[in-house]
Amino acid sequence: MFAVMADPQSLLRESQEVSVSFTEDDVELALVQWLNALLGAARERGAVFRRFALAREGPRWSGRAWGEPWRESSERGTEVKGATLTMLSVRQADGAGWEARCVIDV
Amino acid sequence: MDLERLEQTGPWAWRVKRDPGAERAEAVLYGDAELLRTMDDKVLEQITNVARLPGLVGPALAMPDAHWGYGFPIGGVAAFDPERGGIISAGGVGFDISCGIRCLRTSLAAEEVAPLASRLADSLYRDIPAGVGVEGSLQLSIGELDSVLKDGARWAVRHGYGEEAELEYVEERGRVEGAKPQNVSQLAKKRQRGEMGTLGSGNHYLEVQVVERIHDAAAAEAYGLRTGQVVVSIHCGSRGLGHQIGTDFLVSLAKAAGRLGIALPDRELACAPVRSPEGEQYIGAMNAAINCALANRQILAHLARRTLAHFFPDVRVETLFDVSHNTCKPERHEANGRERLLWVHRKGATRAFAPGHPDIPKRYREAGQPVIIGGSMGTGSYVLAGVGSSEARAWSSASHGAGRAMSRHQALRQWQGRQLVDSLRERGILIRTRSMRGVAEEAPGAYKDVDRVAEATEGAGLARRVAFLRPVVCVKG
Repeated sequence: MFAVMADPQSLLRESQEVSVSFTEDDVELALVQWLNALLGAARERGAVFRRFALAREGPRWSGRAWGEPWRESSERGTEVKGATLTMLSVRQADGAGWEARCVIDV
Repeated sequence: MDLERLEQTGPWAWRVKRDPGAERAEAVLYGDAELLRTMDDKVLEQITNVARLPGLVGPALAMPDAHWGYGFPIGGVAAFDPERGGIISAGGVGFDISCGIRCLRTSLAAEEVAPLASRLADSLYRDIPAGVGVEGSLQLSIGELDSVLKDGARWAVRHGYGEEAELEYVEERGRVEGAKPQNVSQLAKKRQRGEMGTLGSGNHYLEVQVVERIHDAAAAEAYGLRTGQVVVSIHCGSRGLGHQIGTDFLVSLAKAAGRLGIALPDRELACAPVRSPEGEQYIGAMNAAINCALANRQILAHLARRTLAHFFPDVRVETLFDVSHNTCKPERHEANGRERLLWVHRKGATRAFAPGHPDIPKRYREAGQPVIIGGSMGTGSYVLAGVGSSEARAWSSASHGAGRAMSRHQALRQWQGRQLVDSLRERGILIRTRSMRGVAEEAPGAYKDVDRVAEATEGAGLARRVAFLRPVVCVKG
């Protein structure tokens, strides 16, 4: 999502860190909440994130993201307005890990 | 779109065929065969889903510029009766709440601007904050922002951005009633503190345009438009605040719908009855976002006026009209032989009141409400006027833009920003942008033919063409 707004090759530092937590039973809605919380945190701080971690304990979700201050030179010209419920899906992938996807509004 | 799934009911109107035994769900699309054929099948699916929402009055409607959106298609119009469980849907308003166009007419002629066009473009690019992550010169406290959310463009005028008299020509006279800043999250407010007076990015723009053609002389005269005249159009919305409200309520209304027993054909149609605590909560926040957008365009109009005055000290820059195209508003309409209060969703559609409507400024009342169809940066835009037939056909609504014909991703594969900027310059259109990638995404060829959309809008009896505006300078968001 942040790679839509900023060139990921230009994001090298992790000088900023943000913590996000929320409660959500529905794993798919949790994805949307997580993404939108990250967008809000990024805009509030004038930051762009490059590394992420999200953990779940029952309905409680705790996430962290690391990145750096927004730089004009990284801009790719598209602003993500929000994560949507369109084509929203979160499922356990074959083998290890999860596959999560949704359409973002730009 | 497969036209076999539609039944043509008029030269410019098509009804979606219903499967035998399917629940009542009437959907109507406006346009000619070519416009509809090039629409994504998703438009059909989405407008049919809208038709299944509770309390719908009349058919769900798709304007000639419709394309695939989230929940509602862009170009979707639907009216709901709160007396019959009618809903309000965050997916029917969109993320960029009250995105719209402010059109300014100037006293300048094209030949006055031409020799200075390049310098004017540079100055507008410098003076109008645009692009991702860009903040304006205004930094508001949360308390000040609450005043913006309550008072809209009137707040901006009170703080020196424009004149009281021009509010007459802003929808809702610059301030919508029923805004509840307390329903807006702190995060939404924090995001907006530095974003008042900013254009944003994507399809947002500020254009200097020239009136190239007049289609309706009487309406053009009422609107103060003449051939060769320079006008300025500003397309933007409620910025980060609106986006945050959209995302906040998308999830909460999706949950509310489940709790309230509303079977959503698509979760993106997240909604609640107008008369429910959840619905009222959203309405209060949405109205706050509408006021935010009205104030934002008021500030940007003032900034543009100031830049023009630097080059042309005697210039007159007046608001022609300011109209939103992502809203849901309570309006009185005649339905089934009686006047009713309906909540009309217009997502990527413009209100288009007919001549004589009391909400139209006196100066324009005989002509009808100004409607603006914003085109792509390489083609042009139209000013239209509301017509009487639109009331019965589309709750007095019309198209809002050319409408995308392909995705941004497809556009990126087909065009390069630098080449587009160069070729447009050769055609006398100066582009100023921070992002060549953004220009490629917004390539004129990625949009439908605006002439065809405007013609279809008129043909379908939604609004009539008044003037065509050719771009000469475009500051891309």
